[in-house]
Amino acid sequence: MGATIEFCFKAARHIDGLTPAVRIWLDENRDLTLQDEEELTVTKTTGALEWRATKWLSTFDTERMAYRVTFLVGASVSWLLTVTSDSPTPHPISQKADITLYPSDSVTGRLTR
Amino acid sequence: MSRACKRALVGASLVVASLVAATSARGDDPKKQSLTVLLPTPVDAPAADANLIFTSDEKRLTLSVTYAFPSLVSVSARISAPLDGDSRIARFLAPGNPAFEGELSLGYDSRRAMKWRTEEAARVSLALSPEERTFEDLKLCEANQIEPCSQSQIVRWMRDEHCRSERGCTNAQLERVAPLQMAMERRNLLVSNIPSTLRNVEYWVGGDLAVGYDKLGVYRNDLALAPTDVTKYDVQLGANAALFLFHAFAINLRAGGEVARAPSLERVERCQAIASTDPTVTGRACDKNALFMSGALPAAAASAYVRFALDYEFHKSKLTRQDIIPGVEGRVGVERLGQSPSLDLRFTVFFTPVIDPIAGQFGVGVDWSYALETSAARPAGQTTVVPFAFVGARPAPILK
Repeated sequence: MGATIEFCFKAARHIDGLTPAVRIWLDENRDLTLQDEEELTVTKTTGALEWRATKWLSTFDTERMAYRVTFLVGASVSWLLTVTSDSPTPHPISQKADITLYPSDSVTGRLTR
Repeated sequence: MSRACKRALVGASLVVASLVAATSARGDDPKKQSLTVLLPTPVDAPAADANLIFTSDEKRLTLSVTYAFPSLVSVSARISAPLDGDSRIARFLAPGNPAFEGELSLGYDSRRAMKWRTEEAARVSLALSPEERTFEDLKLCEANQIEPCSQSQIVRWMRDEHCRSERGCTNAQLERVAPLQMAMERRNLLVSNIPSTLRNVEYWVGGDLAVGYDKLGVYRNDLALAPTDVTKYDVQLGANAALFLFHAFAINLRAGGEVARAPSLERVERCQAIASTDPTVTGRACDKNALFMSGALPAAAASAYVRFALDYEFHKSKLTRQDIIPGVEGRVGVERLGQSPSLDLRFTVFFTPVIDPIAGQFGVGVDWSYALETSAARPAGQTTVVPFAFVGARPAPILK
């Protein structure tokens, strides 16, 4: 049993046309190779332009753990991504503000401790 | 069957929201079983709705089921039956006395197709390429301090900054970026590869097959004789197209042909004296709803129909889980073209209270029919007006 981390996406505005799809892969093995079982499916928060996904890790050490997020949304929609860990106390371990991605783009990053 | 048992059956019907009551009744033309043009074609499948329709001369139970195949075609089946007033059981359940109407619609639902194409594109396009699985872009970003590390950002950096240096980009550098760009473009292609007709116009186009059947006990030519079975039926085959505008306004056009045998029946009060040994004591047993027919049985006749409907449901910009959707519908149709045509109008006012995941259906309306030519059943110029009310249930609309 290890830390619990949570990905939270917040869109700046509603996207017309397509239903936004967000998916997360987390390289928990830290081998820079993604497996299908490392995929996280996010759920939309009711009444808000917000998507959340929770992952229970087998370790408390999140240092340099890579993640990838794919987006399928309209163009020119900015996002705020916050990754938090509950160990030892709730704190952010990655934050990306004002990300504007092209449709079907993906973004990668690494977690901190 | 005991009265308690009959009541239990009625209660069960209520539970499944498929109710009714009634007097003696008969099968009618199939179009009257679909109450609005919006309801029979839900996008979310499978879907079902049930209605009880009350008119001045009958109560009718209608059950509809719609199934949309995963991609393009949806099928809607609808069956209705008049209910017997005494037993309160749908007459088609009674052995030897069936009466029902059935309708099968098969068609292409652009709203369903659009939903499926979008979901399919999203599913496929979110799959990762080998380069994405091995974080080639993250390695590139960390080596060149590219932030945020998105593929479009890498392509932009390569094009606008890195390759504009004096020496430009090497082939090896370009090859490293190309797969990332290709993965992005592959996804874009899948998303954009949805026909513009699906994006811009919502419609349903297909065909209807409708059947109505009723077998009635009728006194033929002589009220004193025992009643004989008279069969009434119609079969309709036609095209059905609906255009949905602004998600709430629907235009529906149906045209087709019909083969029907419709004997002209008259409702009479038939009374029989009850035997009595005392002449001062008399009595009569009467049937107020006896059906009488004079003359020979008519042959089946072919005719055509054209029906047009406008339907509007008032939608707020955002539907909530507990909401009320009012709506109106107007229909105009010319029936039995080629035989004894009539002009039929229908106006319905309804509202749909939504308590997710169930939506109710309540409405009132009036059917107005005007005989354009004289037939065995009615003279030219005769008008009939039949008010009706309905109550039912269906799944809640998709919350957007």
